[in-house]
Amino acid sequence: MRRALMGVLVGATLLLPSAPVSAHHAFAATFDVNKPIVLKGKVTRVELINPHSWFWIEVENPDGTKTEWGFEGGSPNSLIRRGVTRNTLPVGTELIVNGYQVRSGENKGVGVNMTKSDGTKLFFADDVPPGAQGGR
Amino acid sequence: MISPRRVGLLGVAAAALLAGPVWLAAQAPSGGAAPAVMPAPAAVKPVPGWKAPKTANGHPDLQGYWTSLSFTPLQRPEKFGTREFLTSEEIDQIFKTGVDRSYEFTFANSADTPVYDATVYSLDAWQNGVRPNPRTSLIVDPPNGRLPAMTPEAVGGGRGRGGARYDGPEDLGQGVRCFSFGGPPIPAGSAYNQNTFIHQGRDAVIIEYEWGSSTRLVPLASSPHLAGSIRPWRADSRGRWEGDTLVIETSNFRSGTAPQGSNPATVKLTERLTLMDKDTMEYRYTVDDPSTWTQPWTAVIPLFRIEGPLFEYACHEGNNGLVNMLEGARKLEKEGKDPATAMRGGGDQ
Repeated sequence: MRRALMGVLVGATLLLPSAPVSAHHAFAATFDVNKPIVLKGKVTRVELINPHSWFWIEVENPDGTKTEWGFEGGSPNSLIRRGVTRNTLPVGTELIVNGYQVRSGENKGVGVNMTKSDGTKLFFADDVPPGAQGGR
Repeated sequence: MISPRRVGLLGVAAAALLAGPVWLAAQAPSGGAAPAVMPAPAAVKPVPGWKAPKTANGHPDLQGYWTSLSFTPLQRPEKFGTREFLTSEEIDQIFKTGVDRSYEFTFANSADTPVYDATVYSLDAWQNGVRPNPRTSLIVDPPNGRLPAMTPEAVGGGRGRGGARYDGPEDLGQGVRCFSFGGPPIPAGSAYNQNTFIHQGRDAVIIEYEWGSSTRLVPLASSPHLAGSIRPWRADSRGRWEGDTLVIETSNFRSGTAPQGSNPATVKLTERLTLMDKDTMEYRYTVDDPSTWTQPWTAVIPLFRIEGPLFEYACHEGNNGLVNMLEGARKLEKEGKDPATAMRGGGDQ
């Protein structure tokens, strides 16, 4: 299967994992920390479904063919509380997704970080406390 | 709904993706940004002269939306010994560290940290109204703030230790399968969805958790508990009023939902809810399970009023995580690897 990876930009050195106390599923049981991925593509679908939102992008391969990749995101009720709907992110929006591929090897992964083509965070970049690293 | 503006103000409250115990232990400054405003510590006793509003039935009105978001660990870091409260300087320092560490685990380490950038998805505690808690731990008894010693029976039975098989969905636990994220007590931590709705009727109180969209029906009656053979997902509760405090006694827990890995057949939970002022409630609960611990233990969690509503967390709706985990396990087996080993570790999502 032709891989649509643009590049593996992240080394193997990982920080010790830390996470909220309670959560739906274990990261390492679902995603492979040895398969970091960085993909650039255009949004095809947004699914605000429980327990995790899913974002789908179409990635253009080097040979010109296209592959759809899906990325798990945070729980939709947190996004919905802040006013995000499935229409907030229009189809065709260009996204850069940093994440990790699922262990099955399918074209799915976790979207650790999603940025728009202008470098801004996907949803809430403006809400970081003043002066915080990465904030504006 | 919490407006973006309000959330922005709440954003200075605190932040941390870390589990409570780790976060509290890591107090060294990391050189990052400090919050611009330090909110006042939580109230710890009723406001003098303040009278709780009453419902039409004459009981204190606990109704509304509350958050149990907390950076305070369940068990007290040993360095605090038997000290129950932080100094104001310690609160400031921990607060600052929480904010700093939050950004290490979000912005500074985008793709090399295997957890979400929680700020993208509005999962950060600071985006959801976490407030400071001056306590050194949620557990207030035993006096060292830690879970009591386990009984030989519990240790020998491996109670509290989870399995690590991936042969089928039955191996993955109630939460991953979307059946239950635990029965009572009200969950507390820095994770998302730590919100609760309370509604009072004449004969019953309804307590709904956003986490798992779990709803408890608590009859205000002295009727006996269900037979031991009947074990509802939210266990079996009976409520009563002791002055201005709602007291709820719960038993008949189901396997996989009992507090802190206790024995569902023997554990009893007693919860006490008391309004401190119009926007603060003390939630105190005691877990008594002589087959698991050598003595009962008690925790205190401040609940803070928030704007509603709760939003549905219908976990079954699209539980792709379960499918992805089992597919990954089968692939590992084809490669001659043991999923129980290979899929170990990592944070939760």
